[in-house]
Parts: sequence; structure tokens; C-alpha cells
Amino acid sequence: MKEKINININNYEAYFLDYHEGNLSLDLVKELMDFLSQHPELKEEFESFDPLTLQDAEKTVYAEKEALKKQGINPYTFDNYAIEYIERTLPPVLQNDLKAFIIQNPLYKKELKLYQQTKLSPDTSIIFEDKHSLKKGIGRSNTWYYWAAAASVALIIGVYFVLNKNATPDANTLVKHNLIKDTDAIANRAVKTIDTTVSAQRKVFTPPVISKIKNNAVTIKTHFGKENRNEKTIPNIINRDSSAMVINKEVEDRLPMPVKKQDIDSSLSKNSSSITKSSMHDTSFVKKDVAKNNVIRPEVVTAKIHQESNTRKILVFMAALTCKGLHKLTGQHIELEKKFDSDTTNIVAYQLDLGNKKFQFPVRE
Amino acid sequence: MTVEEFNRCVDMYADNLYRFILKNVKDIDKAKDIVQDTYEKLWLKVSDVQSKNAKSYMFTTAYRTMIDRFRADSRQERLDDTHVYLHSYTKSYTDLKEILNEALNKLPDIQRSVIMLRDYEGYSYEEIGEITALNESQVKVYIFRARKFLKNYIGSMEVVI
Repeated sequence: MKEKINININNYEAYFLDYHEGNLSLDLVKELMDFLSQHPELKEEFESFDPLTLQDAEKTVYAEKEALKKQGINPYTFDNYAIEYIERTLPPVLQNDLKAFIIQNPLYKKELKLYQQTKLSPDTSIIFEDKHSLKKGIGRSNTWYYWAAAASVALIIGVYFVLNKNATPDANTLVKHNLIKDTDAIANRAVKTIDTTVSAQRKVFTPPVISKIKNNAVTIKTHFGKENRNEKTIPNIINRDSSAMVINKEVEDRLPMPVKKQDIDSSLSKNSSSITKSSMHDTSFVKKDVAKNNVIRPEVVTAKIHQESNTRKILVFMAALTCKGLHKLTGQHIELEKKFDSDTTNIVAYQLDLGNKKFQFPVRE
Repeated sequence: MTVEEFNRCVDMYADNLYRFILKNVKDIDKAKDIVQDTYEKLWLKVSDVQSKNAKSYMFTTAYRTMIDRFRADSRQERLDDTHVYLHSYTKSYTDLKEILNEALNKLPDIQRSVIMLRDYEGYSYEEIGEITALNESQVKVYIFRARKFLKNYIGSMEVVI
């Protein structure tokens, strides 16, 4: 009790609380009321001290207690089961219980159907139209990608043909351009001789030509009609130490065998030609001319080989660079790979790798 | 993730992401903006995010970007002393989809998000929890409440119809 203490601005809260709890005597109540009349600004605070009573608490109940109980499917727990059922998280055993419950309580069939209808499906008419703006790199659209891929394939194929053209020049071109100075006379003379003797059948017989020069070896071809083709490779024919290499007697022996008379006769008879057969059998002039006059200058041959090698390297490098660039721009896997022979370690092919597709371009020697 | 995979993600998920965001923000420009933001954020992390996780990463990013926008918009509205314009119109429902769509719009944001992630994208409770920064139980509760609301809404509309 606080009867001997005057209520003032420093202790009024305790009196407010005692008043609301019914602990003040009548005198103190009177004193408190006098204090409040002197301090009306505290009236609101005084009223706020109205204690919170819990008398209504017992009236507040949780209405869905039954739904919390684990007692199988009933009207209170139906929603849980139904939702789990459409969420596909209800165990099979309980699914059967739910179906049995619905059979026993047909009114819940509609409820379950309503739950099933709450499953949302996306509205596929809503689309993000400007996907192009979200993409990165030049290859933002398929069109760009296909153009890039097509360009790369065209480029690589182009390089392939250029490489192979350089790698295997036409035999006549080789004769004309590589050895023109020394073999032109031979070729002209040979053709001329043939012209005079088998003018009507010029296409039947062509003089021997140097078809390939590689690794110091020369391949010489003679054609006599379609049926008679003769090809021989003479190894180690070029002596790099000498300033010039003449096909000498030793080489002469290794040249293709002269075309035999019977071959000519056979060929001509097939063509029903009126060519003088006797003039045809002596084809040794070609052999002799080649042997005597065909001076192969090694510096010319070596330069040509080096030129081919350098051209190949540059073109392959350009193609590989292009592939890398296209890969960066489009994001698509584009790579040019070299394929080596396991024995000789020579490059046998170039492979264009487009990720899911690979194209191989064999290198012809 | 390569550039190609990134661009494939655009083709595969941009529509889904846009639908999800549009249904939540109900504003075409804002939805597009969030989708673009999301892909820009993915692009910044393109070397860190694996292709298989890209979809989840994008939905998480988009959802959080959306929530940030909601908060920013909410602050802006208080500053401007403006009021949310409420569409009040009568509508004749022709099919269940429209009713469901209307009901979806009436759901609290979080319930709408989780149920859309569940039904539109087929995410598990755990995945939805990762996207929305909720635990699995919370996700389950929100889905439960959303389904119950939608069921009651459809039921009441059927009575009206």
C-alpha cells in the first residue's frame, strides 16, 4: 500500500497500475483522481493501463484440430489428402484410401475434381518475342550461323582444291613450267614426229611426260592409247649437290620401256587406222631425247617444291585462322585439324570439325 | 557454359521466364525488363554457371529481381503518394482457364509464385525453396493454401455461372 506516499509526476505509473489491479484504498483512489485532474495530459496514459484480461482467451479455439490429427481420411483431413493427391505426393496406399472415402462420400467427388482443376497450365500464347536481343555474338540467329558455317565449309573446300592443285600439277603443266626450257624441245619434237607419222591418231600416242617430282624421284608416264599406259618412278634422280643433273645412261636404262611395235599394231588395228605402221615402231626417239636433252635443273625443282610447301602452309594457316574466328563469332565448334599418317607422320588429310559433323579432305601427293 | 549454350538457353527458357514474371508483375514492359536483366546477369556469370543449372539460376535471379522491383516500386509509390490502380470490372467468364487466371491474380504474391513454379515449370518443393529463398515446409504450406484458395474460387464461380 502506498497511502503515505503522495502521488507525483515521478511515481504515478505505480499508482496507475495498482488502481487497475484494484490494489488502491479509497483514499488513494481519491488522491489519484485529484492528481489526474491536475495533470489531464496523463489521462490517456492512465486509460491505457487497462489491464489485458485473458477472460476471452478460452473462447478462441483452433477450429481445424481434427485436420491436424493423424487419423486417416475424414471430412477434416480431406483437403490435405486431396491436395497431396493432385500434387502427386500421396503414397499409393493413401490414394486407395482417398478413393474409398470418395466412394463412401460422393459429395467429395466434386471437391476432388475442383482440386484437380486448380492445376495450372502455361499460356503458350505468351512468348518473349525479342529473343534475338538476348543472344550474344554475331551468330545471334540461326541464319547467321548457317551462313557462317556454309562460308567456312566453302572456304575449307576451296583451300583443299587449291592445295591439291598445287600438290599435283598437271604433268604437261609441269613439263611446260618447271622444265620448259629443257624439255620443251623434246616435247615439241616428239609431238611433231608423232604428228607426221600418226597425224590422224595424235590423240592415241602422247610422248612421255614427267608427271610427278617428289623426294628426289621423278615419275614418267607414257600413254599409248587408253589401253597402254606406262608409268615408272625413278628414285634418287636429283642430285642436290650438283648444279645440274643430266639424265645419263644409267637413268636412261631406268626409263619406261619403249612402246613396243606390237602394242602400236594392236592399238592401230583396233582403230582401223591407215597410219604407216612401220614408222610407228621406232619410238625410241623419245627415250633418246629424254636421255640426251632432258636436263633437270635441281634449283628449279627444289624451288617449286618449296613453293608448294609454303603455299600449303599459308593456306592451311589461313583456313585454321578463319575457323577460329568463326568459332569465336558464332560460338559454334569449328576447327580445322591435321590428320597424320602413323608411319610416315606425313599429313594425309585435313579434317573440318563442326562439332556434330566432320568432313575429311585427303591430301593427294 | 559456352556462347552457344547461352543462346540455346534463350531459345529454351525465355518464354517460360517471361510468362512467370508477367503473371506476377502484370506489366509487359516490366516483365521484359526483368527477363533482359536476368539474361544479362547470366551472361556475366556465363563461365561459372553450368548449362544444366542455367534454368534454375535464371528463375532464381528473375524471382529475386522481381521482388527487388516490387520493393522499389512500393517505395516509389509511397514517395509519390500515389495509389495502386485497381482494375474493377465485371467480366463474363467463358471457361475455366479464365476463372483460374482471375483467381491466380488474387493470390498473394508468394503463393502465386510458388504455385506457378510448381505447375508451369514442374519444380520440386526443394527447388522452389531455393528459388524463392523459402524452406521446403514453407513452400508446401504456400502451395497448400494456394490450391485451397483456387479450389474455393473455382467452386464459387461455378455457382455463379
